[in-house]
Amino acid sequence: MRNKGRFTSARDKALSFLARHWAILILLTAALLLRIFIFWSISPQLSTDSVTYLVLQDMQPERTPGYPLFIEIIQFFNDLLTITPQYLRLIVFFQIFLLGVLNTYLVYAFAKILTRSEGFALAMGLIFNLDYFVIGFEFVILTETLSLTLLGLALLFYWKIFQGKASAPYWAGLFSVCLLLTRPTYAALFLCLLVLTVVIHLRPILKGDFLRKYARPLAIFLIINLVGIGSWSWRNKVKYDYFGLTTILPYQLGYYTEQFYLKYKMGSDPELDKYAQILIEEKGRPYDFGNRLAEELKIPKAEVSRILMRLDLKLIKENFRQYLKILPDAASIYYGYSWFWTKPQNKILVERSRILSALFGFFLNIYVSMFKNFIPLLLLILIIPLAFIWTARKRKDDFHWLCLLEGTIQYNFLVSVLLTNAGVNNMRFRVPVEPVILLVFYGALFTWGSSLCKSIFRPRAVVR
Amino acid sequence: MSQFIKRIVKKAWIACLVFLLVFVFGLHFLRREAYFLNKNVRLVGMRINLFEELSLHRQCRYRMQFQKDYYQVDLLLPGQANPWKEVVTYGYEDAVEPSTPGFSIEIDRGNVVSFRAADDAGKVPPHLVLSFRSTKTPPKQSGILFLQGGDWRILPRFSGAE
Repeated sequence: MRNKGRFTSARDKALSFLARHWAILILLTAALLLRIFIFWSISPQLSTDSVTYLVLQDMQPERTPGYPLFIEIIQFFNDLLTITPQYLRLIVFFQIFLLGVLNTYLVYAFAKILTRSEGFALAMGLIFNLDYFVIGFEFVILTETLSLTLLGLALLFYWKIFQGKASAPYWAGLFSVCLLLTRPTYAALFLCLLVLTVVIHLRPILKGDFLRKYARPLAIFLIINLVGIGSWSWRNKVKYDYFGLTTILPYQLGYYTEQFYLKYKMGSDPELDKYAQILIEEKGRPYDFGNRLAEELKIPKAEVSRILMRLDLKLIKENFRQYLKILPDAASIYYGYSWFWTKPQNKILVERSRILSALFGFFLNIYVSMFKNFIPLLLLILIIPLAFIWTARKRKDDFHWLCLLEGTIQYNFLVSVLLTNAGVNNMRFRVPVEPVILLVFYGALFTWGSSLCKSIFRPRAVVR
Repeated sequence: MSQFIKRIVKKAWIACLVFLLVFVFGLHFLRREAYFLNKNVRLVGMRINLFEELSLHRQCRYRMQFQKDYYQVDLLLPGQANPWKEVVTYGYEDAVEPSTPGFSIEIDRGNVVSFRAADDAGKVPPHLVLSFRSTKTPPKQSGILFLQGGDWRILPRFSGAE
């Protein structure tokens, strides 16, 4: 009798668990099945950038250690346990099954915070898994998938600070540091989040209530980020005589200055003019310029980076209007939409499953029409988000969360577009925030749609 | 009761983490030779990936020569008296060495185009294995199989003849 009672109690607990978490269980099952199919169909994909991440000890000053460390941890266990000689496939395995499934959960969690609807969160999770532009990067050996995971975790734990979770500022700081050490473009994201929080809570801050409650966790978050940036920069100072996260920025800016390098004005700085002459001989190409200084003049890489930065800033300052004229081009590539980065694998996946390719193709067509036409793009990235934020302004928590999401989206856009015009690379810089862009858009439509339905179908109170 | 269980789980979680760290260190100590053998072969493979991409991007030819204590990568500069210019030299981790020092491969425009053992001056064979062994446990070897046509793959560990 006692055993029967225990069994019934365990069964009731299991059923209760299933009832409370039905949406996430369905979502994770679907995500897992999709990824099993993808993993067995594809081959790991390398690019010129990929190979620079593979060996942590060979890392150059242009790179930050986040993604190489992720690969190194996987390979450490592979070498220790002799799991497989296919080391690239193992990296992709973890990207697909660990990071990909975690990203699915993060999208679900974000959607639930935004709308408090299980159904919408489930739908957003499924839509995320059918966005091949994003999940295709899970089998490409680049930083996009890991960046998406770390960005999601940093935002989620930052949000949890305001839910009163004691450990949240530590986790938020840790993931933020891991994110900026994976993608240095996120080096100032923590400041963006803090500034947004301060601006939104200005009145409570002036009253003193806000600081009494949140000053300590926000200070912890800030300090962890500063320590993270400072320690990696100090390591570069000791190793390369360069205090900074990475030496890549001048090369990224070089994609802009490559278009007006001939307009360099000689005469103001003889030493810089000498290097400008070499830049002109190399037709403005930043990496060819860098290689020539390193190989012929034996200048250390950090010094090459400093010289190139001075040249870039001088060129941009003297040709600012031309720089501004090129910005829209960079922005339009940033908001491009295609399966370019997974081209070698696209046909294989399409041929292996008609249903999946139809689903991927369906969303491809929708997003191409949204991203490649100006008015729909404006609606997607600006008008609808702003309207959504405006309608949420009276609900403090929702307003704050929306501002954090939208702030992250616009931060990513500004940093990616202002700092580089690297052709099709600009499009992949959008990948970590792509799910957030779509979440805000779909979230707005869902919230307004729900409100409209409630106002239509709610019975009116009769006053006698 | 649930608070008590939460406390137990929290302490168990920390204990599990400590146990895992001790387990990993212990395993690393016990499987040291296997670990470094696998690591060396994997690093060679990854560096071959690197120079394949570089040779494709820069449209040039690289040569990797595997000596007893190190392996060297040279860049081909055609038309010069000494056409091979050293680019970088890598050491082996721990007590690992190639079974056949002097083995070399050439990488051109993204592919491994030739491979030969030190004493082999003739035609490129259909396939050849560059094997590595730990000097501490010589029978166990690991290696990379090179095939004509540019294909190559890391082999699982095998027992080589002394």
